[in-house]
Amino acid sequence: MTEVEAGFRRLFAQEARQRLERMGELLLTLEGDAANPETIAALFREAHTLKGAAAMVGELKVRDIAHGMEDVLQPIRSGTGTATPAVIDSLLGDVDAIRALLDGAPSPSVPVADAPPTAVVGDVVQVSLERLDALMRTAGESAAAHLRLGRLLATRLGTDPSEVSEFRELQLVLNQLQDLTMRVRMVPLATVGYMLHRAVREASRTESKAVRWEMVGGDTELDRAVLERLADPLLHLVRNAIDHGIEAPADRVAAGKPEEGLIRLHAMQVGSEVVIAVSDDGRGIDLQQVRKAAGRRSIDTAGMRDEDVLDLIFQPGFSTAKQVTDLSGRGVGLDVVRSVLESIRGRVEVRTEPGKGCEFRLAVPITLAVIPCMLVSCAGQRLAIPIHSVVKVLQASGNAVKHADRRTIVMVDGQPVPVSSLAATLGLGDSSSGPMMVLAGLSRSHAFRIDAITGQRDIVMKGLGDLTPRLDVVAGASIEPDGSIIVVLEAARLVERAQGHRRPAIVEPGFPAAGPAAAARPPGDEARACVMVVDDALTIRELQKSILERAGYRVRTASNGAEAMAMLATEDATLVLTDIEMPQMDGFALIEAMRKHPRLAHVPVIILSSRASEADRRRGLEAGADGYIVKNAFDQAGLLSAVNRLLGKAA
Amino acid sequence: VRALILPVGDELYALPIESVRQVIERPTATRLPTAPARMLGLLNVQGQLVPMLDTAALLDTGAIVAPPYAAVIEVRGARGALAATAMPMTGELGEPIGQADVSGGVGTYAVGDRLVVLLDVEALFAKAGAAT
Repeated sequence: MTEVEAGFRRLFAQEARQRLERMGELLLTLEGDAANPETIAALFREAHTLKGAAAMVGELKVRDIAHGMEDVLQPIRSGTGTATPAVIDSLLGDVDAIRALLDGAPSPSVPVADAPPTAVVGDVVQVSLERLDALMRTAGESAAAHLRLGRLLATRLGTDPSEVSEFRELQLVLNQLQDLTMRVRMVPLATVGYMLHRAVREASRTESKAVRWEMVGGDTELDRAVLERLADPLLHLVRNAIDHGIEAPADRVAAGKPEEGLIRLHAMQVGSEVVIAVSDDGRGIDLQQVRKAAGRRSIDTAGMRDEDVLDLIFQPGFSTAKQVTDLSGRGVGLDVVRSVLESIRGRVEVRTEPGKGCEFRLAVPITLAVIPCMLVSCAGQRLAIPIHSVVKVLQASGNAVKHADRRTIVMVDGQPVPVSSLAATLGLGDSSSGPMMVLAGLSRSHAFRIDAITGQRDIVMKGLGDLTPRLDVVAGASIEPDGSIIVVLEAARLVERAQGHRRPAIVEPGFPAAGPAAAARPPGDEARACVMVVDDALTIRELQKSILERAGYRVRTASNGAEAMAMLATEDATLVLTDIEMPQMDGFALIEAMRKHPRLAHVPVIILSSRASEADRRRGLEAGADGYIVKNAFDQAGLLSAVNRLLGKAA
Repeated sequence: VRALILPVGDELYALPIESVRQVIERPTATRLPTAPARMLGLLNVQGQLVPMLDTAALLDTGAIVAPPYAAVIEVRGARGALAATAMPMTGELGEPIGQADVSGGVGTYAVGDRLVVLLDVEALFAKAGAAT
């Protein structure tokens, strides 16, 4: 293949992906409205165009599949055939088959390294993400250079830069440039709509439930990087809704509900945030079950308010479902949903009404790079707090601060809000006497006393580098025009820290090693997590070992269940990964033995087996396994995400 | 082997010269709230945020307060500044004369009449970036 030919093929692949996406959407529309002639005509057109383009660039397999699709659509178009579910299934299958031919890579949203940097489709120019990011960086750098220039004017020439009209003009233009650049990266939420709709369709079939999908506000725009991070959490929430939320049709009817369940995604822009609500009209979250599950993990919920109990479902490894099912157990759990949201400076909340359904609300900042902040001084240090978390600023005097029960509170809009010193919360020193800033936490507000508010402006955040461990309360930092550094705080975590609401550590009953020292271990301490790999095949043991070690886990291996039990008797493991068929003691027996052992009963176990039958899977889960991975579907990422999920670490 | 010799307390440590980017005099670090003690704060090194690490704390030999110097080191794209208690100098390492007696050290060398421990920067960085 010549360079030119290769270029054309890449271009074709890019175009074809868009057509496939459109065809997928049309097919799903057709499923709800089988006789719509416009939908059918549009589908036929897409298939036909795709066929032609494929033939041009020599993608003969794609051409043949598209040709086949035309053949299926032709009678429907002419009115002699009908778009039955089986027909739609086979056409969707064709769409998937072509997509698989095109990339071979599992996710089409991942930019291909050698994709052409630009392409013209209609009157739209497609630009590679890499170029966009470079543009964004350059715009940011020119703004920084501009600020340095202003400083130079002031120090060298003694001129106030704001008095120089050329300087002001430049600032205006640079601001516009930055604004436009950021807007170029925005994509509508509907970009992930098809993927979610497909997931709803597939999952509701697997579960034999009737589910309608509705999307409102699909034109709401988000920074592409943000949306990319949101795809997995949204997918998880949608699958979860079908798996755990929507009841079986008969149960729904019995409860006086329509047979068909509803999953709805509603997106809207609220200030500088986009709020995405994923709701279902299913059974809701059973708080009693959550309390019970908490009890199993030795979390005392007796004195906890309902909303705090509900919040427990976002804890790593916390699940009211007893097993990792195929449907929602893949990829991410709710703890990962939360950590993904936090990593993009968003938050997630849940509301539920028993019997009526539940709603997960994701709130994310529209863009990542620039955050409007309040600047405060605290214990001699300047700190920035994102404005979207600031509920209110209260002056030092004139507000009724009350002391009750060794706690200080202040009334905000008729509600008591606890007060802490920001310096003390951050371990920077002692109390301050200036104004109070009320910050919004995930569920509650908290007031912080600071020395002074010094300003308010946009902060361009930078990463803290690879060598800085992740700090909960620090969102990032920014370099100021004068070269100084401002640390940006994470308000939600700050509130959590001040309220002493650290995620309760999971303590295993009757487990001496998990005394106070282990309980105080911060969550996600994967450095010390030890995975035991049990398999009689050396190659598989070594393969898993190398994958897990590269991911930072400590790994021990055993070649059968008996050996594993013997090793576990002397040193425990954080998680066990086991095969089924092994000499001496097989995987089922190992799990049963572990579940009977007081110290090992709570250690998560994942089965990794070449047995793919439903019966084996059920038997494994009945024996007490927390996950089941089929070896021939085995991939490194899948293994790690299952392990990370059970150990509560973000993938 | 050319190396940068880093004085830390009473000890001398050596860093492979190819990993050294620059030496900063009187580094002013911005404190990072809630960071572990081994992180002295953030430095602005030519528009990039670089964490300044307490070399003594990383080697479990004590703690450095207000270091007069720091050497900016880069290994595999990760940058960190190692604090020093006196001005770092370059020097030539001869044959190793023994093992290092600190974790994170790869060998002991004689430079002039002093003993110098060559540091494994990657291991040191791994320790710095690890979760607390």
